[in-house]
Order: sequence, then C-alpha cells, then structure tokens
Amino acid sequence: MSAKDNLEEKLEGLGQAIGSDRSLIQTVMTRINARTPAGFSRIERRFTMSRLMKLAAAAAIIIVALLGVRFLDKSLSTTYAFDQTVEAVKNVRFMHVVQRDETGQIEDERWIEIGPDGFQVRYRQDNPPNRLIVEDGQTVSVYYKDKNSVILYDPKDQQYQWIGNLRVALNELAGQASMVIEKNVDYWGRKAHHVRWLTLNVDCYIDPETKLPIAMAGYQISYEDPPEGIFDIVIPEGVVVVDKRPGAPPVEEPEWMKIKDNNAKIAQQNFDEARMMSAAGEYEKAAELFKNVVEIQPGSNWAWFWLGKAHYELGEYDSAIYEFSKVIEMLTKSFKVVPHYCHLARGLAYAAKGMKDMARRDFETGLPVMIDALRNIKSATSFDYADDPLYKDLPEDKRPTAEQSLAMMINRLRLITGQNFGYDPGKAVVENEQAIAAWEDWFKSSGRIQFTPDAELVHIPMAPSQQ
Amino acid sequence: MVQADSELVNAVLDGNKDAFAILVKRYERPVRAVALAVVGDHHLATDVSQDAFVKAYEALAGLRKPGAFGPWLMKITRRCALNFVRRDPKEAQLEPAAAGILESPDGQLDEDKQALLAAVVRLPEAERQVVMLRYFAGHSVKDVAGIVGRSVGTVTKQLSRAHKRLRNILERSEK
Repeated sequence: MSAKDNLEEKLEGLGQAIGSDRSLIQTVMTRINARTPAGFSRIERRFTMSRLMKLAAAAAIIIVALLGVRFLDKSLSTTYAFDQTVEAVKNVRFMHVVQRDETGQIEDERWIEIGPDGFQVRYRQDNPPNRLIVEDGQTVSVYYKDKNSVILYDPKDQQYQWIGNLRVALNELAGQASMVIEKNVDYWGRKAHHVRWLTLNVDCYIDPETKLPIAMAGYQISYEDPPEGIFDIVIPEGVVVVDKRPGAPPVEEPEWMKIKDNNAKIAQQNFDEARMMSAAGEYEKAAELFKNVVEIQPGSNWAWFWLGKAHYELGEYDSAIYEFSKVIEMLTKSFKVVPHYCHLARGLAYAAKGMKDMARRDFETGLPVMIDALRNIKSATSFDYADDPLYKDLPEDKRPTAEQSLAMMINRLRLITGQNFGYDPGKAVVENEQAIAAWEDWFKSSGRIQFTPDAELVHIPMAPSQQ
Repeated sequence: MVQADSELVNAVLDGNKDAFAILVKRYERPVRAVALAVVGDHHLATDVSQDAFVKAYEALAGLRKPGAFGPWLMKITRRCALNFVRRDPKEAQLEPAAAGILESPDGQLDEDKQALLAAVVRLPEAERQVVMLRYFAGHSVKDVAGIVGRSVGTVTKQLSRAHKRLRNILERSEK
C-alpha cells in the first residue's frame, strides 16, 4: 500500500473518529428559529452587495423604522390558519409516509387508509430489514423477519398508527392560531409553509395550494393511491405463526416472545410504581425503578426523563444531565422532535452545577415555546406532564386548569429569566394581560437568560374540582 | 449535482433556512474537527459546533464572498472554541468531569489521531477545507469541487499538496 493510500485511510479513520451528531441540524435550526424566526429579510440580504447598496439599505431600514414597521423582530406572531389543513385532510383517503436515513435509504415506510370518520382503516408499516406490519381492516399481522415469525392480532387488541389517527389529532388543533410559521419556504424544491405544531413540538411543511402537510416530524408525506394489494396480509411459507386473535386455538409462544412479553410486563410495573414514588418524593426508590425500566426498554423516553428528574432532585446533577441528554438525542434523532421541557430540565441541572453557558443554551431552546404557552396554553402540556409523572392518570377535571398551567409557566419563566412583570393569578384578567404582553415584548426585544434560583414565584391557584 | 456553498449562502440570505440546514450537514464534521482540535473533548466539541453554526447564521449577511463560507465558518468555529475555553475557567474545569459521563460513542481521540487532526488544522485554509470535505464529510473530489466552486483539477492538486504537507508535518512531529 502506498504512503498516500495509508494517509488517506488515516484521514478517513479520523473523520469517523470525529463522529457526528445526528441531532445537530435540528438543534442548530431550533436555536436559529428561536433567535430569528423570520429568517433573513431581503433588507438584511442587501447588506452583502455593495457600499452603495449598504447605504440604500440602511436608509430603507431607517424609513421602515420611522414608519413603525418591524421586519426584523423576534415576533412569534405570524400565524397560520390551521383549520384549512384540517379541512383539506378530511378529503384524504390514502397517505404514503416515508422516513429516510442520512444516506437516503428508507428506514420507515407507511401506507395508511383513512375512513370517512377520520380513523385508520388499513395500514402498512415496513421497517427494513426486519419488521413488516400490515393491518387489513380485520387483522394486524406483525412479521419479525429475523425471528422468522408472524404474530396475528385483533386490531382492537393491538394497533399500529402514525401520529395517532392523524385527522382526529389535527381536528384538536382546529381553531388554534398560535402557530409559528414561515411562509413560502423552499422545502426540497417545493414551495411550502413551515409550521411549528407547538402542542406536540413537531415541525411540519404545508403545501400552500392543497393545504396538506407534505412533511411532518421528519417524515415526507404524499397522498397517492397505493399499489394493488399493499394492505394484503401475506404469510410467507415456513414461518412460525402465533395467532393471538380472540377465538384462535391456543398455540405455544416461541421463547423469545415469552421473554419479550414478560420483560414488557416487568417494565410496565416498574414504570407505574416509579411514577408513584416520584410523585411522592421518594426519589431514590423512583430512580432505582426507572433504571430497571430503561435497562429493559432503552427507548423509553419518559423513563429516562423522570430518571433524570429523580437524580436532579437527589442532587446528582451529572447523572441527570446524562439522562436528559439521552432524551434529547432520542427524540431529535428518531422523531425530529425537540423536547423543550427536557431542555429546560437539563438547563436547570447545568445551572445547578454552575455551568452557565450550557444552561443558557438549553434555556434559550425552550424559551420560545414557553413564551408562546402564555397565550396558547396547550403548548404548556408537555411541561406540566414532565413536572407530574402522574399527570396522565388524573381524570380531566383533576388535571391542571389553564389558569394553573399559566401560573406554573410564569414560575418557570421567572426562574430562568429573572424577569417578573407582575403576573398574579389573583389579579384581574386585564392586569395579567399587561403582564403577558410585557413578557412577549421582553422576548422580542431582549430574551436574555438570567437564571434566578431565588426568583419570586406566583401562587398556583386551586381549582374548585381539586379541593 | 451538489449545490455550491455560494448558492446555498445566497439562498439562506434570500430567506431559505433549509439551505442553511444543508450547510450545517455539509460542514458538521469539519466544524467538529476544528472544535475538537481546540477543546479536545467530543461533548464540548458538540456544544462549540452548535454555537459556531448559530453565530455563522447570525453573521451571514456580513460575509462578503459567499463562496468563502467554508474557511469563514472554520474561523468562527475556532474563535468560538477558544472563547469557550477562555471565557470561564471555572466552567472549563468542571466540564471534563461532565464529559466523562456524557461520553460520545466515539470516545476520545487516540494520540495518533490527535496528532493528525492537529496537522490538518494547521494546513493552509484552502487545503484544509478540501481535506475536511473529502475525508471527514466523505464527499467525492467532484463534489468537493462543486461545493468550493473550483475545478476538479484544482481540488486534486490541493489535495495532493495537502497530503505532502501532512506527511511532512507528521514526520517532523515524530522526530
């Protein structure tokens, strides 16, 4: 081998060792969007042209400023009437959803047929090379190619979906105007509206003509009719079939499935107990149980998150940072979702360690959604859930009210910004409206992070149903 | 056909943020490499990389030659990395401990790789850029030429000169 070849090999090896961070793009773009949601205006662009153009642009900026038009602010106010997308999706019968890896290979491909009521009728999910799921309307078949086994379920017992029943989920967003949007961007050669679905922290791109989403959470979506037979369940010859549908004759499950089922059961028990321990302030016990869960199910993002919270409460900040980082990596990598609540939690752990810059970066990532939540309280749900592991067990009337969620968000903001603005749950709506407007103005004009552990916090009001 | 850096920079300045995402993807490893050469730790290099890209975006309107995006970004990265180490000595002392816990799957660079990285970072600007795009980001010579807006012949010569220079630097450091 020549010296040059050897050097090239070493350089390539170095490139591999330098590694990459698959969540980098998402993180960088989130931070950029947080600072400059509107992107570059054409006025900024012209600064790169020439001295004359610079002067002209500067003059234009002065005129614009005099006219009181704000092109360059950090406004979150641009909105998209999501109802038109909700309406458009009502006419969709078939969806084709694809996610690719960095090399362009398909990681996940799904075909979905939606019925007139908005619920999934038939479904196919192919995760090469090992798993193929097909629901033909009556039966769900899961083919584990590496195990040479097919498991058949009744859809009532086991159903696979993509972002739930999409149309039903979208319906819940009807009427919500507080969407961060950048209109008419170029999405891989197609014009699209870039919308942030704040309630779920998911980015999507909407076709301006059809109003249909063409990309969501890292998946590309199209609406063509599927190939013939795509929803047919075909059981290859020689595979082990385990029929779990009601009424099917009992069969001996393969050993791997027994272990899998048993582990899932243990994980669920540990998870439920750990959440209760955590809510009761028994953090050591909770941490132990959450650890068991992530050992069995390393993809359980909430177990990782609450394990981090338990360690944070125990003052074990390094462990907490590690666990929160796992959640952030997991969600940004696999689902292209930025868990803002987790950035807040990790920022607090960094702050507790005195690592101000790291804390600031995390707080800055969470801040736009936290500010948005002051008017769109649904954006606060994931923060509330993160703070209360028993949230989902609570009946609707026991969950935090909008007023309580707002007060809790105000407290989180006070903690990381050092700002106050006089919000008081006991005050009149008009006075608090001024406080919320003040928060928004502060975010647009400064948005400076100032971790303030001794910030004055507001009282969380009790709702009558919770007394 | 790859888009040249200059085209992407202009697209970003015309309001297309997705074009910046392409630049981030393109320069992720070169930026990490420069950051790593200064901070010596994967986890910190990740944070520096994020900062560098965000700063580059914010300063993009001031970039006079869009085609010079790569070398310009490397300078920003180096500045960010140096600032990161200098800014808060107390924090810098604390971070390696955290980095131990937050270790990346790639671990730390071994001594040989550190030496090679240090040599790459010391290459002249234009050569460093093509080396990083070719070997760290894995682009073909043709694509590197398209990205930097030079001919394939020029890039080939720059790579050849860089190889020679790297061998010299490494030989000197071994003596």
